[in-house]
Amino acid sequence: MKIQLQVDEKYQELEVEIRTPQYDQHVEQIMRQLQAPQKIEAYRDQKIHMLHVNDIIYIYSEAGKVYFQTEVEELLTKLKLYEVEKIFSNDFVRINKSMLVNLNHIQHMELNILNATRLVLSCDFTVPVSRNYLKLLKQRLGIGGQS
Amino acid sequence: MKQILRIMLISIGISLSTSYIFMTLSIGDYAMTQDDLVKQIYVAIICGVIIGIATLIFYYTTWSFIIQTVCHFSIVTSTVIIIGYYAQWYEPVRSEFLLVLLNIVVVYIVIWLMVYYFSKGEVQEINEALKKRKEEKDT
Repeated sequence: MKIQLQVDEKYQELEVEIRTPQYDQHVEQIMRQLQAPQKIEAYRDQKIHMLHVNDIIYIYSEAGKVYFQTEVEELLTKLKLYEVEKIFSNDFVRINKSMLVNLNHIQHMELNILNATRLVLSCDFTVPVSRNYLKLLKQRLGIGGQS
Repeated sequence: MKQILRIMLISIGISLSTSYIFMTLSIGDYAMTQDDLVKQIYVAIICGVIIGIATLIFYYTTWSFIIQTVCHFSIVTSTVIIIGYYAQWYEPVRSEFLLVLLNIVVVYIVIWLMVYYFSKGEVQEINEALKKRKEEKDT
């Protein structure tokens, strides 16, 4: 992949142009990455915090509210889980009905004797993976079908 | 919908295979009539459908795995015992009933182990993909 940078005062704003012989997964991923916001509003003690996407380990919904879990704290968002899922579709993957995990924070997956699968994340957080979403996780990791 | 259909077909397949194995083991020198055979196939398919529906517990509920397993095992056991009674798989005496129960437990454990080894392979594949992803990010 060639990267060209043009710095010229004639441009009014930042422009990114992609030239490609075909539209494929790789191009789609680059576009998603470019479009995804790097920071998101979150609330704690009724104060607004700007949270960097990489600081969020997982996102979960509980009793109708959606929370961002970071290394040290939980912050509330006013968005619905499906909205967050759409915004961060490049970095996060749904692993059960009420949870999204940051792909960059997954350490490994474990299987117990009861056939239950769970993900071990950064800071030793462990989260259950529903069998129903295992296929989606595999797709996002580039195995078991198209993403 | 595709996934539900897949689960149902696997369940019917396991039910038919198990029924066939038990018929072969228990029939001895007795010649089974065509009607009996067709009846047993229907019964196995009904069992498979009910157990298939019960298996959806693992896919569509948010209960803990222990609760899911206990519910699934209870439904499987009740289904086989009730259907088995009407299909005359066993005589309604205590010893036969206990034997059926033992068979259910053995078949359940065997299938459970098969699923476990399949899942183990799947988890290994995911861990390898995660490792590869990390290596690519680091370089």
